[in-house]
Amino acid sequence: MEILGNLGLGLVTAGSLSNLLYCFLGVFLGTAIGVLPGLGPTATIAMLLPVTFGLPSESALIMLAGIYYGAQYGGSTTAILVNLPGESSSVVTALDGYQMARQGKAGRALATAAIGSFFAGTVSTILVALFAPPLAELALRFGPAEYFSLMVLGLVASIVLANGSLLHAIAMIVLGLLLGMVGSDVNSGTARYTLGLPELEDGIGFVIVAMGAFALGEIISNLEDESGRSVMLEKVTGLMPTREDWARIWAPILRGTALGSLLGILPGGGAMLASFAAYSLEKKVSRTPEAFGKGAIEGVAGPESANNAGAQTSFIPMLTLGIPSNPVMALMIGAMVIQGIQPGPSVMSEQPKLFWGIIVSMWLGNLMLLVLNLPLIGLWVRMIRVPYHYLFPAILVFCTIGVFSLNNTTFDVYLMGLFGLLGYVFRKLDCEPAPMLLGFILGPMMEEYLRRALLISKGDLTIFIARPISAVMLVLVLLLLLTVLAPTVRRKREEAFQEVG
Amino acid sequence: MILNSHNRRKFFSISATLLAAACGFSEIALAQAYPSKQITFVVPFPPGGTSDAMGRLVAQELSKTLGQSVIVENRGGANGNIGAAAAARSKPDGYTLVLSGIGSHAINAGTYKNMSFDPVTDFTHITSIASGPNAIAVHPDFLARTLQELIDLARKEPGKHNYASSGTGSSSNMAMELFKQKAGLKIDHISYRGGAPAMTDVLGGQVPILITNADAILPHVKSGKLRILAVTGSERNVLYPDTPTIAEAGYPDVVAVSWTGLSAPAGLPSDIVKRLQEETAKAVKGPVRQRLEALGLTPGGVSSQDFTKFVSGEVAKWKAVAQSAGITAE
Repeated sequence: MEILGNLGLGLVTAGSLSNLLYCFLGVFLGTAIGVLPGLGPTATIAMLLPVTFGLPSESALIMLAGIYYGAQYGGSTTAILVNLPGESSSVVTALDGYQMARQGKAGRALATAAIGSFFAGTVSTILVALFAPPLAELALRFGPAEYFSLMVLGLVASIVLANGSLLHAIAMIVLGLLLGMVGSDVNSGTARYTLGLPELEDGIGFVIVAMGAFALGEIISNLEDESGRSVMLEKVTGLMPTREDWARIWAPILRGTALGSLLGILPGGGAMLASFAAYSLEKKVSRTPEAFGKGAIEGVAGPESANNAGAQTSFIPMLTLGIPSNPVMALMIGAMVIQGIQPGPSVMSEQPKLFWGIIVSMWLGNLMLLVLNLPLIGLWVRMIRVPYHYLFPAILVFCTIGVFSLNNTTFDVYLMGLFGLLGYVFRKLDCEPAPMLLGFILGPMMEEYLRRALLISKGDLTIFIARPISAVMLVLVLLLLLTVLAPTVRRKREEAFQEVG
Repeated sequence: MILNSHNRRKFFSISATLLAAACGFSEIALAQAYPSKQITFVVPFPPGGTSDAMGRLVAQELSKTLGQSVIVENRGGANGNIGAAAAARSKPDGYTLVLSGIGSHAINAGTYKNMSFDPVTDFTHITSIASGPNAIAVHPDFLARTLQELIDLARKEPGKHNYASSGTGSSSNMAMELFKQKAGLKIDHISYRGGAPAMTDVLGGQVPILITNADAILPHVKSGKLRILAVTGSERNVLYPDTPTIAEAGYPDVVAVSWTGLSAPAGLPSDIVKRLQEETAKAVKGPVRQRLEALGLTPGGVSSQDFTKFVSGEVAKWKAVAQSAGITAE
């Protein structure tokens, strides 16, 4: 019953008029920057940090948290409407979401994303409230060996991301891995594939690749193909999910929430995997995997829920251990320190008002996001019915501003242009950019964890099977490979997988 | 409404231009009334880190005291080299400033083979902003309870133990290498992308020894999840009054602090240097002081001559460490 008292305290804190206002300001700003490509929550929070110095600590953190999870909502909007994923988590949303938009179902896709996110946000908030400390201990059990095995699992699972040829998918993953190698090596500092350009030393930015390969590639092929331009004018069929949609999305939302909550706890890049993993899972358990990539509503519901659940549970290591799982969490810790609060296990006991206030505000914020986003859907859908010769220059301008604002350099803009051309070529060759992006995200992390694990074990390879969590994941990898590579056992494995799920 | 205000603004800006032209608004007039327009403050890192926070704190104060807005422009990449190079190439008129630091203006000169700028001669170093030590800490299960015990253990079992740092060529990596050289130790380096993941792995017991910014580990030291052995400053740190410096343990040469400062392209007129030095010193010793000290940082504000001398000394010091430890970037 202590939990009720705690939540009551949180409600009093988060429910005060001024804190409700800051929460709304946060989620509103978050939605706005999520919709604008390029400008991410990290940069926004960094710029707003000085403004929060004068606020009470609860208000400051409630607002900053709102920006973070608000951006997760906003990011899916452009992915669905114009095939422009602004964050790594919305890449997979673009796959089926954009196809739905082309079929005149943009409203239903957006509503599904919002509803899934809200449900996931609610469940994971409860998880944070009930189990934060034990879950945080789990996070610390993940060392380099475990992360490496997790990434391998993610990569192998991603093979099912592809809709067309398996060979094309593998080639694109490898290309992504190679692109991920660009930049200075974390162990030696040696520059790899930078062509002597200092701009490439930190690697190629994710946003640059995603905007180029997805949004720009799409624009080029739309301009080439007369019929492509008119698809957006397809009659819009309803703004809310239909009865049949509901029957299809409830299970993916549940599965996505569970998977996302679990992965979000892991500070070493788990949240990034959440939406990819959820998509792979949905496709694997679906009776109609061939519908994926062609506007399957499950392909929007699962990943969107997973991504929002992951965003909420990634607060667990930060709130309970003082460990930042991503740059945004590091900034939140910075905000706490500036307020004179030492983040760590003591926050819960010494600052109960702050701790529970943030947790309750996360739920209130999710509710606000739902209320904010559902009415906006009508507006968004009208926006894409703008004639394409007005729409595409606008998209180009926003992409350019967004990419330029990352580092204030034109180099990045040219690089995005190059990836736009590549994206067009990929389309011509029938190669999908999504597996490439996954390889691009996972590759550098996988390499880093592999080498770090081996450095720690002084070169002993058995570290990957001697550690139980890592070993279990490698076994899963083997099982998954079997189901992909041996079509005869495929049917059986799928049934088994379904029973487990 | 929107069109209206837009047009009005355009009208004003046109008339202002005309006015300026009519008055013969020359460069000399500009220098006399410094600052007469917005100042760009290049921070050679992406938004979000400690350096970025330093830059924004100082920019905020300078905007107030100079009466012109000081806009932070983040130009990250290559450990600060890209932003610093861009600043070095701009006009020394006081309207482009740069946040200098231990990476871009000292360590990189020793670790990068091809630097497009000289960290000393291509800049006017105006004043220091803040500096803070690194700290050596260990997982609570690790055998060493003091720095001396760590030294003994590492001597007994050379190459057996690992330490985590915030990256190859980072100030924490360099500080540890300096300590290892002076104490004759062999402890293997595990490199991370930033201090946070390094700390996470030490908290989880994956790596026993950590070196990172002293302020970052404070909550974990307080809760007993990490044991601090030493700080790398020349004096003890306000956050850890009971923790000795490495110098105290018998290695007086092992002093390594992460620092940031205010710099501009070489050839900045001396009256502008003076003005900026004074205002920045006032800021870091006044309104910003409390924020810096909360992070365990010592406010700067030294004279331009002293700061220039300090930067040259740092370049030489870290070049030597990089060479003997074999640390290179590129």
